[in-house]
Amino acid sequence: MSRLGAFVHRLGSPRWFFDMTKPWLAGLAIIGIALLIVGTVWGLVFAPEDYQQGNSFRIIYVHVPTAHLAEALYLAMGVAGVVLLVWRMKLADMFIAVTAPVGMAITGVALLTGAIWGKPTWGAWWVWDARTTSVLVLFFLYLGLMVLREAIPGRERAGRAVAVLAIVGTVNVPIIKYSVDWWLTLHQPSSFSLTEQPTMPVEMWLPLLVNVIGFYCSVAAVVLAGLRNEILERESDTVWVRDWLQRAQSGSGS
Amino acid sequence: MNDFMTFLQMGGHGLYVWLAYGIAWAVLIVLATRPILARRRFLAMHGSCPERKGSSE
Repeated sequence: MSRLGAFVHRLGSPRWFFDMTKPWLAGLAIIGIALLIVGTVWGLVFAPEDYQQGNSFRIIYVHVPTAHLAEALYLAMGVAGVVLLVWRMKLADMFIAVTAPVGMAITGVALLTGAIWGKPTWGAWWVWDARTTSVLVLFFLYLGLMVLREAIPGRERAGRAVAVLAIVGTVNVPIIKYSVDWWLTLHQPSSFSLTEQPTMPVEMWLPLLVNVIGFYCSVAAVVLAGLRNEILERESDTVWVRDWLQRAQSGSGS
Repeated sequence: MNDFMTFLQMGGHGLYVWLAYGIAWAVLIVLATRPILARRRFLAMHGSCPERKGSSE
């Protein structure tokens, strides 16, 4: 078996994942918090104000990272949904269960900060244009995943139904991404592109890049911490979790 | 002090900027606290394993 194959195979074991990710958690959290502090201070204090929008543009440093994350987390759940349906990997189901509320909260932040930014910039808290509406749909998709899981009896059946919704819902992500190009919207075009020069000067987009990576790392740490707890909960009857508990009680586990 | 007030006012956009950042920080803090509390709850609930009952303390 190839190394990648062996890696994917072992991922199927929640215990192996739990043991392996212990050092990742602290690393992600430390890097994430450090980058968030740097990016936020940089964006609030040192970045120059926008010649059209003044200081309200500084909301970009929390709005763009959360909006990116809202889409990325949903895509990740879609991938996990495929993994669950095709390979029946329990860990994928746990990932979707843990990520849905986190994604919903992050999408909520993107919507609220967007509304707050819209007031001084567009003159309205909310505009029913393609971008804002498709992100609102994303918010309700996250909510739908959580409600669906609660509504269906039986963990396995619920998990499969949620996975299907997670997969189907991913069609919304390209709609969000291209909404500013396909339709005439009030929303400004993308701040970042892999293929084009940034439209902002470097002293504006560099702190944004720092904050985007900071949000990704911090939220990855949150999801990972939740996933590790979910593993403990679901495997609490197994010998390895009981062993782990004993070690945790004697102060050497974590 | 005056500089700091100007910074807080954000050229008249202070309310919008600080509200947006406040919401973002509050949600991040809640998200980061939840798994820590959940871990504590799990440890408290499974604090005394069946095999260990009576052996500790």
